Amino acid sequence: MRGMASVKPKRSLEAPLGVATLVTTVAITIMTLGSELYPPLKAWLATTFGHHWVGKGVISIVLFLVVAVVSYPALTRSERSMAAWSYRLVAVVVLATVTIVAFFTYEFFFG
Amino acid sequence: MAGEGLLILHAMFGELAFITFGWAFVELIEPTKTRIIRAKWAALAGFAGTVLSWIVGGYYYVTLYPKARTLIKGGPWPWGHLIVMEAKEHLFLIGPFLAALLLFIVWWKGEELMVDRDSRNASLALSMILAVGAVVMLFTGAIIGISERVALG
Repeated sequence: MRGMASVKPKRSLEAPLGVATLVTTVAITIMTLGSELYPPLKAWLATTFGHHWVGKGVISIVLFLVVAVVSYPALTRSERSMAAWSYRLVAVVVLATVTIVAFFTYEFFFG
Repeated sequence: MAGEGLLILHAMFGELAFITFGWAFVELIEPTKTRIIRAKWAALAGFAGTVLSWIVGGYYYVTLYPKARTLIKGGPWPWGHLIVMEAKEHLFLIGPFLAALLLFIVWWKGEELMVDRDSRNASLALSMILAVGAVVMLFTGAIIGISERVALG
């Protein structure tokens, strides 16, 4: 039986991945809307990566890895609540979903 | 024919992700050593399903879908592409990162999930939104398929 003191013996190594996921989710939303509202961005993504959607995917992977690595020293110094991070993340994912669906619905009817 | 095969694979990997994220959620509600072992493999299968669905669906989307897109946009359900597909293709990009985070938490914490309520709640929240997201992707995929069919008359 583990004592309460040994409940969280490890540093929160998952925290950098949590913040990387959060930043990547926001970036995907910005790239999605940005490439529709600013055609040169979509054109740049298409010419650089072969397809704008591939470009968004590659940038997302790179951003995820970079944020995880860069935030690692700061976020693993002390214990952090992953539940709080995850609830924020879920809220951001729901907000991103509503934003993207609302944007394309608006574009369809009024764009 | 190759296009249909890719679509079937894309949907199958998506269904695998839906089932296994839901399975991980159930195992983590009241975890024991055995349930955590099963949750680990379920999270791994969900991550694999998400990534494979991304690769296969992405290849189809980039190489073969443009023909269907033209058809859908000219058909009676143009919103099948202009709203549903546009939203789906971008929201899908979020899934693999959420799946990677869930995978890491479940494997890193392991048996600690029995006593670490905080990480357990994080895993439950992530597996829940991943299962819901996977089923939304399946539904939207069906709508896009029907949009193409109605365009063919």
